[in-house]
Amino acid sequence: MPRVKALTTGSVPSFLDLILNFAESDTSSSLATQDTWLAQLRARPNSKLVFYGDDTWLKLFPGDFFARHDGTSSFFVSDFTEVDNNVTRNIPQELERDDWNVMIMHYLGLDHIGHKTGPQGPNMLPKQKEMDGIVKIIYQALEEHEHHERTLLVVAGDHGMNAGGNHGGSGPGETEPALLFASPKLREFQKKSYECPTLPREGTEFHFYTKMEQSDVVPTLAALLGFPIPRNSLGVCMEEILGFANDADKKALLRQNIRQLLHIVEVAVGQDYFKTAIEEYRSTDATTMPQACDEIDAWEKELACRFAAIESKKDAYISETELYQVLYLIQDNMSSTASSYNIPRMIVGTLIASLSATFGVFSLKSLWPPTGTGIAFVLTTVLYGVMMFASSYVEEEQHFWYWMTPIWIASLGVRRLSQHFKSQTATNTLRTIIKCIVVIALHRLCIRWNQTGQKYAGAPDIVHTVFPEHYHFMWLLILATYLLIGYRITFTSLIDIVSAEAAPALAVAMIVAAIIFKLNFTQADAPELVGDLALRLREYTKPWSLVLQARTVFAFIGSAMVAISASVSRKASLAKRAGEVLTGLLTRLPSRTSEQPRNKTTQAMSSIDLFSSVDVAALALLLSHTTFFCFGGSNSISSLDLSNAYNGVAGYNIGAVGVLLLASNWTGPIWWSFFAVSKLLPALATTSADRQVAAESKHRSWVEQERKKLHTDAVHSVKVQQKPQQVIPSGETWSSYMAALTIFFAASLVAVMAACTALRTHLFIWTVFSPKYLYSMAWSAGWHLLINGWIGGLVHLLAGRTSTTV
Amino acid sequence: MAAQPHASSRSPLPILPVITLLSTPASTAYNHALPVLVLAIYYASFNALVADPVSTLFYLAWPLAAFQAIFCVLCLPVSTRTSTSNTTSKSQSLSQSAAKSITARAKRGSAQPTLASKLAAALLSLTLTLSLSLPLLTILVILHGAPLTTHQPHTLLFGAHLALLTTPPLFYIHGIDSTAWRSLVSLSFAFDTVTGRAVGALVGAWLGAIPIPLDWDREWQAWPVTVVLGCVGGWALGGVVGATVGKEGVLSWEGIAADNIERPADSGDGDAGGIDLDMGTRGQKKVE
Repeated sequence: MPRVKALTTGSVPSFLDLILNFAESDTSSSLATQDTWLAQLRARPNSKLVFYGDDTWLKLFPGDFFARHDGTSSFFVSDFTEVDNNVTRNIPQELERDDWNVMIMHYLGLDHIGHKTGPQGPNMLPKQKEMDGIVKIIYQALEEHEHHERTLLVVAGDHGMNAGGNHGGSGPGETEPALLFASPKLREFQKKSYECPTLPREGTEFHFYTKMEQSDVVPTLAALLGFPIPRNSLGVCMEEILGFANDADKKALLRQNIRQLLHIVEVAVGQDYFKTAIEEYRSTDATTMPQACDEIDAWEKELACRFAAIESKKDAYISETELYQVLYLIQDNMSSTASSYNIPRMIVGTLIASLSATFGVFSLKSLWPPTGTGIAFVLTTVLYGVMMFASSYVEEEQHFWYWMTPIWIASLGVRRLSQHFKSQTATNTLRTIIKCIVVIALHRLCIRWNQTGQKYAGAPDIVHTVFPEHYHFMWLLILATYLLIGYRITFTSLIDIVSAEAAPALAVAMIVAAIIFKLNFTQADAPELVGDLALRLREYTKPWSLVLQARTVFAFIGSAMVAISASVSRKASLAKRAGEVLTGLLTRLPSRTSEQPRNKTTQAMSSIDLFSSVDVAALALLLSHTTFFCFGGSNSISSLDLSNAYNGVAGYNIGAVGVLLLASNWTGPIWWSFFAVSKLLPALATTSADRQVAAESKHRSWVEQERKKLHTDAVHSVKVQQKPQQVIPSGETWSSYMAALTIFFAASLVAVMAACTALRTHLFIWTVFSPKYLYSMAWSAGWHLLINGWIGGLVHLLAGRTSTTV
Repeated sequence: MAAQPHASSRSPLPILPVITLLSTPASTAYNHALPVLVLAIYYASFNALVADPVSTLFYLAWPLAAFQAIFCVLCLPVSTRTSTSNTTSKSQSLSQSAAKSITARAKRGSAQPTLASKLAAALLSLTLTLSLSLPLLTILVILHGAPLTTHQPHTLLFGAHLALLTTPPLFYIHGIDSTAWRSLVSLSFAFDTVTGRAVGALVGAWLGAIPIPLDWDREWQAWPVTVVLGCVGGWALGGVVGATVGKEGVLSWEGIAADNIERPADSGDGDAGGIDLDMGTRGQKKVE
């Protein structure tokens, strides 16, 4: 969407557009009322605009903006052919007609193939040949039909892709798409001759002819088609295309472009300031000596100087170079300052975040003497903060966590070992070593689960290389995960609420519903990952829509959660387990299919011994981030997985989509948050359920006694299996945990905001630093505040209250 | 203070004492020359290392092994365990008092160890390094993120360098005495030239990974150049730090705090000191 805006208005996409990109139906993002080249051409008498392709355009230009249109939803990227055939079938008849003056075709297939299989995918080349064929059909029609003799064909890519087929980053593959102007009319140009390179220029990947800004398309179109340049355009009319005009026309067009850009400058720097600056230079000798302008530092002054110079000269005495100098001076400077930064507010925001970090520090119970954990935690925070200023480390943030986590787990192992050695309990030594190695090995496996970041995106990994070929294995892992969840839900939560017979049945119903939804969703989203699996089941459940299926599952989880939290007031032990249900199901459902097996390994990792609440905080922090990146997350907007954010949502509901977006992209972190919360809950020596049985069984009949006994046996059988957890004594643990995490997140916010403020003129501000800022917001507000603070705090509060009353 | 921070009733794991290097002129000179020599060969072969890491690392390993063997022979006090087949009960000698055991060893060692026996011990240390610590450290390096499906020779050779830089002197001193190695694994040892170099090499290798993801697109950012250099740099620096700063220090997770807190070893109510530490001891008590 931001790219469509750049291509139609000529303005540079701003930070807000990035957020509005997700709120697609938001009316504030509509371009219908803005000054675009479409609006300019539509304003002509008897003009008709026609549109075929991605229905985002119809949302941007709603109502009857287009005389004829046929939009295609781009929701499931697994659709490679339908989306394009929908456009292509309209072309022949439209080319026969002569009643339209603009036809826009937005093909989606190539983008989908890129996202799905990357640039080397098997469908890529056939699709590109298909697109070539379409260009050929159109160009031949332009040559044959008389009513097309003045028609211009513009082929433009709104973005490219990286080696992994994604976009949104700053790599040349992503930001340097092709642009082609073609028309029989262009033959008449007095143009320089160009070579036709088949290889890119030396040292570049995609640089063949001339590079221009995306916004330059707009004034170039304005010059070719003869309409006023849209008001907010920051584009510069392309030099090559001016070949059709004579010298005077050329200069007139350039002067028009300058005047339009100057309006924007005047708004930005203030009209009066600029006018006086021009007056100042008009009286100096700058008008005769353009070189004098070169030495001015402030670009506004330099612009005023140059403008005064060209204004005073007649066309005959002025070179095109001088005019372009002015144009590029404005474009370069205005593009980097296109969004007006409110520096005082940015500083205030940074100060508030520092304040909350300070509060966090003071709410820790003891600061001195420093402990190893404390030093490691501070070191992590400081290193992370420093990292925020290096664009490549923001892009490749996962390496930091992959680097920190194993050493941290190893240090926990070493500490545990030295405890064993000191107390000479050699029996546990081997177990500790094996546990530690297994956990680090799992972490090592997870690193290769998904190749994320920019540099190695698209390199072989388990999800994209192994699973498509061995999808049976993947579903086996998914099934095992669900079975484990079912088992745990049955014996740790449901059995305390309902009878021993009903609990497994309920759990099975929940799991089956979830698996059926997962199968059907995967069929729609990534058919190659289902193959011929459970074909009957899928056909049988076809009549029910995905939305309904998702809602069924959510209803199950919701009612289970309500039931559990209702009984929390009676049974303290439940509060502890509520976390497990929440963790088990809520996080698992929306997560990407291929990531689910990974959750299983996450569980195994949680068997690490811990020492203190800051240890818990450090571990939760490290593993949350590790799992976030392992599941395919990164600091690029393109890696946000939207497909699961619409599960069970029929229309656009910002609240529901927001929650699901958080749950599906932060699945791993949420799991670790609940893990930490349950680790920090007060010790429960014997569960209250057991005590209840002891107290109540006296008054019951033998049948009920027998049932209760079965119940407790079942509960016990699970609990005995579970390792005696080393529970940290209650008290200040929860608040120190929150304080430690608050310090980290507040400090990281300070670093990110400071980086964004300091580097606001950096080349990568929009592609690297701003997305990182959005991610920081999601981490702090979504994960830390909502999941850790509110939900975790609620569970803790309930458990704390009930444990005192029991 | 450093020798017995946990004066509890159950016999604690000994904190390995400072390894005092021999005070002969040759020893002192070689000890000072060693880091310079090692850094020099790596510096000289930097370009080759970038161009062809596998063969360069392979050829560099030999002089490195030789330098370490000479260090063992010239600078280190004689180990009783590798040079003679002494079968002193390890639990007795090390658990009673580490210092006492050292004097005992020194006495036994005073029976004039020949150069041949020293050389044999050094060669044995190298053999142990290649057969024990090389595979272990390589696995450790892979676990910490080194490539597994590609670059196997690179990783293995880096493991060899890491092993050669860290363990030969330790094997020379401690042999395969499990109590001593437990102390080493638990980080309860005095910081000196030998342990400083070992810790420095490990930490340096870990820090050496930092430049790899940066987008400078330099050839030396490829695996394992930076990590090898970080390892060697950390090794040299660790030796200097160990020799100067750490004479009395003890490297231990709790050490930082334990040295500062006047705390009865068995108090479990946690009213004194940092909460983290108390959690640790309390957790430990619960396990028992």
